[in-house]
Amino acid sequence: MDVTIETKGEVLVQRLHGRLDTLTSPQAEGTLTAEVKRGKRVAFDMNAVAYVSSAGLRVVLMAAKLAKSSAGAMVLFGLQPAVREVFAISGFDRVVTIREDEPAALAALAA
Amino acid sequence: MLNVAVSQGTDMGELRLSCGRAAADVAQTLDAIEEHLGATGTTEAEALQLRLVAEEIITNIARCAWPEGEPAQFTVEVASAALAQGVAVRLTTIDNGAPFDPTAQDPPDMDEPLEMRALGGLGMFLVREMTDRQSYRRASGQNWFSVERVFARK
Repeated sequence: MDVTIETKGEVLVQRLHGRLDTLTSPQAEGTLTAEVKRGKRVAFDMNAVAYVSSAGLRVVLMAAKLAKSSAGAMVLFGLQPAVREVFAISGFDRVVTIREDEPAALAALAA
Repeated sequence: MLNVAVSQGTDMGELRLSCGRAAADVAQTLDAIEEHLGATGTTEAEALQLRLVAEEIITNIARCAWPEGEPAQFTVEVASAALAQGVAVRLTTIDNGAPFDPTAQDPPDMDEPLEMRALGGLGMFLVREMTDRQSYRRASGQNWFSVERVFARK
């Protein structure tokens, strides 16, 4: 799991590459929670993530909780169909903000 | 009704692995399962779905079936069969750890707000939702857990 970060005005875009599973999630946890913890407005680009298991869902939920408690904000976008399905099954699409693409995610964070 | 779909189809090969508790052992086992499925007629997306199911089950056994730090091995079997309606895959795990019935776990509460949603406990729920059939029995001091999924073909 590689994560690259871009700044777009007030928003940070963290682009994830690879799988978010039991093996990669412990390391990804630090990267994906660091900015939301500081109250930043963060968009996670999921276009290059083909696989998210419960270990990955756990990290996403943790980041969403931290964003809320730190008065930051977090949006996911570009979920592949299989990943989207895992979010739907787990009900995470109800507690985490998900948008189709980057412009929609940036708009959600600007609101 | 266990194993009905797989046993009725044309055998497309079986994979039997012994897995240790270390993260590297689990990863190696999951890679072998994904590779095996790719060679038995499932698409890449289907193989990934089953890898996810396998990851949840196998990770849970490796982490929780025995006291922390106690070395152990468990068995993972994957069987595939070609049916008229599609490809059937069965994943079975056999371990001699503490009795654990994955089919008896409560589903997460989907209506809870973000703050209340638990960070864990989702794995076995994903397994149940992403397979067609699940079966557990405790026999000879071992947990036998099987899941089965049929991928439809036109």
